[in-house]
Amino acid sequence: MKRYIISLLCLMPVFTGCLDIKLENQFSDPDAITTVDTARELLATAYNSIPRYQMEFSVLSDDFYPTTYANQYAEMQNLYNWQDNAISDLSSQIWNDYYMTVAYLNALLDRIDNVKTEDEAGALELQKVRSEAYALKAYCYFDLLRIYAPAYSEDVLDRDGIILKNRLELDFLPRSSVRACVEEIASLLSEAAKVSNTGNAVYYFGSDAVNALRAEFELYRGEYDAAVEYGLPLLSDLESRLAVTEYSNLWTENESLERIFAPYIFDSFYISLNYDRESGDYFCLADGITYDDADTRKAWCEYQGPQAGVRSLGKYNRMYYENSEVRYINTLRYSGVCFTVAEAYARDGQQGEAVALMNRYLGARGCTLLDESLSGDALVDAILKEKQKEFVGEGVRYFDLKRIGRPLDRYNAAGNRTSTIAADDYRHLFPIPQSEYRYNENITAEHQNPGWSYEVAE
Amino acid sequence: MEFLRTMAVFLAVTVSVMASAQGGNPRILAGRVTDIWDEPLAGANVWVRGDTGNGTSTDINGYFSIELPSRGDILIEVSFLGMKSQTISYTGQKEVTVILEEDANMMEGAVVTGKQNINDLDIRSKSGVISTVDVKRLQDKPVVDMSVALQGSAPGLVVTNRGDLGTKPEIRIRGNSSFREGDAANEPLFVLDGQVISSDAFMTLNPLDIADIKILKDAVACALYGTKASNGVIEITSVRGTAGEALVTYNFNAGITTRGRRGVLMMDTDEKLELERRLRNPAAPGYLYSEEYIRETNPGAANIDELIAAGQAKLNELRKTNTDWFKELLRNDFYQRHNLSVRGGNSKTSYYASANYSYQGGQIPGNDVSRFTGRISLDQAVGQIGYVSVSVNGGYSKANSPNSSEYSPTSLIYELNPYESKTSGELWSYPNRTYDDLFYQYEKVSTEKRFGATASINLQPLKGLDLDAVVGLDMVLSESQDFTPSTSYSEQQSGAPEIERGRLSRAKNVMTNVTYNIRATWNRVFGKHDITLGANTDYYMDDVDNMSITGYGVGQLNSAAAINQSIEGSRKVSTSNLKEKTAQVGIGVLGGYSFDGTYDLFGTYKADASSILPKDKRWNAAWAVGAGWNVKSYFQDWNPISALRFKASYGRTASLAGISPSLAVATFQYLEDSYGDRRLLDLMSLYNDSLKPEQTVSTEAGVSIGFWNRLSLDVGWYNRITEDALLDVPIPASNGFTTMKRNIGVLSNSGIEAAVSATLLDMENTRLNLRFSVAYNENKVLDLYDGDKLYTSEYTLVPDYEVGKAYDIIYGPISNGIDPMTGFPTFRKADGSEIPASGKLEREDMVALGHGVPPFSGTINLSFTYKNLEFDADFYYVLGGIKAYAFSYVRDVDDANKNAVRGQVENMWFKKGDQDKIYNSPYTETASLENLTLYPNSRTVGSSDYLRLSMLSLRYRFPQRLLQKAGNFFKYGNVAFQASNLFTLTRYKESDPESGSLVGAQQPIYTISLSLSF
Repeated sequence: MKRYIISLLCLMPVFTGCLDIKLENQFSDPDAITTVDTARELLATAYNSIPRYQMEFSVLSDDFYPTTYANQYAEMQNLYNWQDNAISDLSSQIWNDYYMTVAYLNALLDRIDNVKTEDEAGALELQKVRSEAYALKAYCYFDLLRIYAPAYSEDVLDRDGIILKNRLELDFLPRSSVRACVEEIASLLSEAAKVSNTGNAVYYFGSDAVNALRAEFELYRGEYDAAVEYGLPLLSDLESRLAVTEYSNLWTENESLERIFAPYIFDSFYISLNYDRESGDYFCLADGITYDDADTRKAWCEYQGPQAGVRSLGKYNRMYYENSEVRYINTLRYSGVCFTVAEAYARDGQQGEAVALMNRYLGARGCTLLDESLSGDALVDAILKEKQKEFVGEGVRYFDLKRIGRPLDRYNAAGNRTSTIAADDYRHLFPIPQSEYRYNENITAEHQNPGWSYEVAE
Repeated sequence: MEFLRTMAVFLAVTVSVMASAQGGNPRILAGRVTDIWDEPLAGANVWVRGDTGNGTSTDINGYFSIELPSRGDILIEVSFLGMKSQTISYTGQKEVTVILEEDANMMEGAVVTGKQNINDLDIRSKSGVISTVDVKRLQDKPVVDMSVALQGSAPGLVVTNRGDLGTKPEIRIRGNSSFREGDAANEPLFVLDGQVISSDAFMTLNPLDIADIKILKDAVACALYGTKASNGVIEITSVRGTAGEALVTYNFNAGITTRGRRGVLMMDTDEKLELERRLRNPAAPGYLYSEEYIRETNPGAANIDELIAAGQAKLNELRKTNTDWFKELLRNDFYQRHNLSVRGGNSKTSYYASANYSYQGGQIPGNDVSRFTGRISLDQAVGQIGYVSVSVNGGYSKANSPNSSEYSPTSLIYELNPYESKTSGELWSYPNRTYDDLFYQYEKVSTEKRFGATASINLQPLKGLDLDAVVGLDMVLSESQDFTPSTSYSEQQSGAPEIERGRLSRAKNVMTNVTYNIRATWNRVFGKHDITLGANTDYYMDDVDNMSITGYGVGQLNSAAAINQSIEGSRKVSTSNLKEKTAQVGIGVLGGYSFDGTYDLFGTYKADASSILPKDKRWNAAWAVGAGWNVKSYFQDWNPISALRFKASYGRTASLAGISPSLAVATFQYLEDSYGDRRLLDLMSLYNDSLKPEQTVSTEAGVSIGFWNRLSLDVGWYNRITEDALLDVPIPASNGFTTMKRNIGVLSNSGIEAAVSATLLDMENTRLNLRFSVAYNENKVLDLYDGDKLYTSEYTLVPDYEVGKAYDIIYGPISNGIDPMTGFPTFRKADGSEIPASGKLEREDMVALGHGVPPFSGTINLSFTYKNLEFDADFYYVLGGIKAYAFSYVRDVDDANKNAVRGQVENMWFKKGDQDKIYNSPYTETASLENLTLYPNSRTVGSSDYLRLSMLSLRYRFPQRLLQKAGNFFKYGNVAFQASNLFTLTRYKESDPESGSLVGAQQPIYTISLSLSF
């Protein structure tokens, strides 16, 4: 049969020539991604798809209290109360979204070797594209690992981590061990770090962003020396980056020296915290998060909205009230590196260095300095406390809480505690979504995170 | 349209004046030519022997009339392609019926004629399964949409109306051959005069221009079209000119369209007010003005009696109105059709030209379709060896609709209250809005402009060798314009500033099909051996170019030019463009052999290369073999059995239907947005590099048998297996994408098609024919490559596809009715226990409720002729399926202000102890009714069986004597009463068992028609 067809093929070269139809607005392999520009544009799609769950993770953490409007938004209130269904629904969205970004990155990395460059500048740009793709993939894996795997310790290295996807094509993969995941992230980051990538716009993952992520990742896996090694060089001109104008520019369309990596968006962001502009928000700042009047953070963290006696979140929420467009999602900031390095020092027994660094930061923010005698857990607590105040509403606190293993109180709109999520609660690990165990034979009951149901119809 | 009307009147007047001016009494012979089944033969040639210039041809109903020279001994020849010619001698008779018999050796001595459907080979029909549509009946049916009119015209061809007038119906030959739903993957191929046309183009054809429609069903019949024909072929041959003097025919139909079936009876004012009182929602007047509500809200008021009396007065005021919104909102409208055609020619040249205008008004004001078509064709003999044919056709059609996906005025029938009227001011059912705020909210105009041209050449340079070629082009320009004015309620409520109100969306879509097909066929008879060999090559190109723009701020101007382009944000103007061109080249061979007119063998192989697939997978094959056995040839002269023929065939076709290039290879396109300073280049889908075309394997066997030329029976069995069936299946989300087009398994469609036709009466003046047909289709999943079950969603309980099971089954739990204590529905679990509506159902609790696609369908056709009177009736029936009810007209507390179904007061649970109720407690949250809302159950589905009188025609043919009296000007003439969709008998409790929607049933049309030829 095949031979027959092949002989026909030889007979009809004239005819089949007319079948190579180029689509006007579509580009197909193998000619689709062959220039640095198209590679960069495919990477832009990956950037554009970076999941934006800052609000949901803030709701899950102790950044917020519910307001009287919270019961109007059942889904979000259920999430605040850590209800199984709400977490389960969020989990499948998060899983889908992060792996979508990974898929774009894999599509790019699979094709990047076919990209032709004409000159040195092109070759350099291509190296940067490659480095950013690795870094972004590491960023996605790191978030996924922190969401779906237990908090890092030597004991959990052999437990299930996340699915590591190394190509675009359809796969039915098992979960890799935490050890393998951590190694993969480390290797992606070190690949990314091989290229010096500076001078690009802040919405691209440059060298500083790679180092900031490395520092955070090393802190996560307890490599404190390495965390300091990667983070400290970024803090050389910390004071200028933490200047008041730079800080307030974070919440505008303007550039801000404090940003390390901030994805660019054209559509709206963080608007679902708001019930409506005339009434107020579903959630407000938790009681424990307060700012002195001299604290420069106060202006942008607290916002007096229409709800009397309620301290609303500022930041993107205030921008929504004030009708200003969000263009940058501040994802990695120099102040964050400062906390990472300070915590690494503190945990490594270098209290002096830790306090000194913290006080550089606090001084710049106009806050009371830390007592130089602080050490041990008290020092770490103080650092994390300030970190929460800096990053309130930005979805950072959830990951810290899980990392340090702390019980979490839930409140009602009246400010009364309703329940406490224990430090070892099963919900600290999100469930593997149903799509995975229904359609992937390598995810079976034993691979579901403990405590979560695993239902497969017969 | 006005022009046409004027023209019609002018014509009628001219005709009658001219008619009365004529005189004399030449010898005229009128008659009819039919085959042995009494089917009329249209286009048969009738001429006087020795005087070929004096000839004519039969009209679409087989009638002819010929003027004879005044000499004695006149012999009249009657011939028709594929039939034995007959000679009759004229002995002064006025009328004659000529019955032609099939010619077994028709290839021999057949005249070369212009033929554009060059794949329509005689050898094909001997073993292939081809149903011929009775075009005459199709033309008798007053329906504007060609494809809707096709319903019930051939067994196995299932046409399902999908709603609004002007919407394309679903057309399937023998069910869905793919797991994939939708037209792209399952629609048959449409071929008009050898040229591939789109289904949209088919919809706008003029039935009166059509001479013949063949439904090709099995592999042998379809294989000549190659991989494009995996879902069957509808092959249309248009009317062509015939030798003879010019025959002008004017055909006029006019009548009314009516509201149609009322499915759900809604409440009258008294019942509605009582329901409102019981539902206790003060948004409805029945409770707001009730005594209990007034007492409750005014405790201890001194003037309580006054207040109550005032409330009663309000209620009495409402009771004065009792609007029937079905009658109020739906309307009777009109239907009309004008058709003017002329044809004629001589033995060298013949021509046909026609113009047609049709209009049909829909049930709801603002919904109508109209169409104008024109067609010219010319056939020219090329010396002694062949013909050249050219035809050009064009059309313009327009559909208006006031229904959009978000807004449907038709649904107001079920929402407006009987105590409200068009003038009653603010509506209870729509607070803050009046009747006028509900209408003129939206309008949509769709137009289609079609142009087609076909040129063909048929040569017979040597005896036995035919060379045929056809080249054609078909274009459809579809345009649509959707307009929501700024004054509409939805725009007023949108929150957008005044300058941004008014939405307009406009789309233009050009579909172009180019076809060429060249075929050589050689036929030779050696004694009893008849051999046919052939080869062909063809090319099909398909180009879709779509442009659309959607914008806001147009105010009340229904124009894209009025779009406010300065708007940013969600109302920013958006444009889109899709351009996709695909092409296919093929090469095919065929061979046929007949022995002694008794045994037929036929085989064909076609290899097609398509641009859709990457180079290495480009070539796919379609092949088929068939055999026929004409048992009748053993007892030619034994009449009790007048025909007996067996057929069998087997074939295999690859199918590329519904596949686009981006599914098989990584394909990127730019998104509208950008990221920072870069455009976004998006990967369109997770491509499947191992994607294979579906393979359709069909097996077919059939028998036709005839008794005494009176009764004939055709029975066919088929089994069509689709291997490597394609479906968008869910994949683990860790792949980023959640679905992917994959070859997932094997499914089969098998069935039986049978037709009996009987001539019950056959006397000189009276004939009665009855035809009954039935088609049964059964589908089944034979294999799934990944396990034995497939879920198309991660949450469904019952697999959508399961090995060994049919895939159109609707599953749901068995309902135990309404619990008299709680008022909630309860369901029966598999172990017999009862669970509430909020309980958790398991897979085993779900039972098969029935088939979503009815397995049986068929027709009953009746024809009765008495002298010049003809009566025809067509019934269409569908059996064995179920459809879920919408129940949207049952009201609970929250929507108590909208009208409800009659009987709800009696059938609804209101308090503890209410036994045997149909509707659950109105005081409830949807969350607690999950099982009721998520799945259909044994009490929320109904049988969708129906029997429809789809066509009725009563025609009177003016006898030749009468026409002669009228001055011999008219050659033929008839008047008729014709009607379509007169009634539908069904047990289905909502409006339409066919579309399943509350609105949009096919409407009855009653018309009077007049046809004159001169």
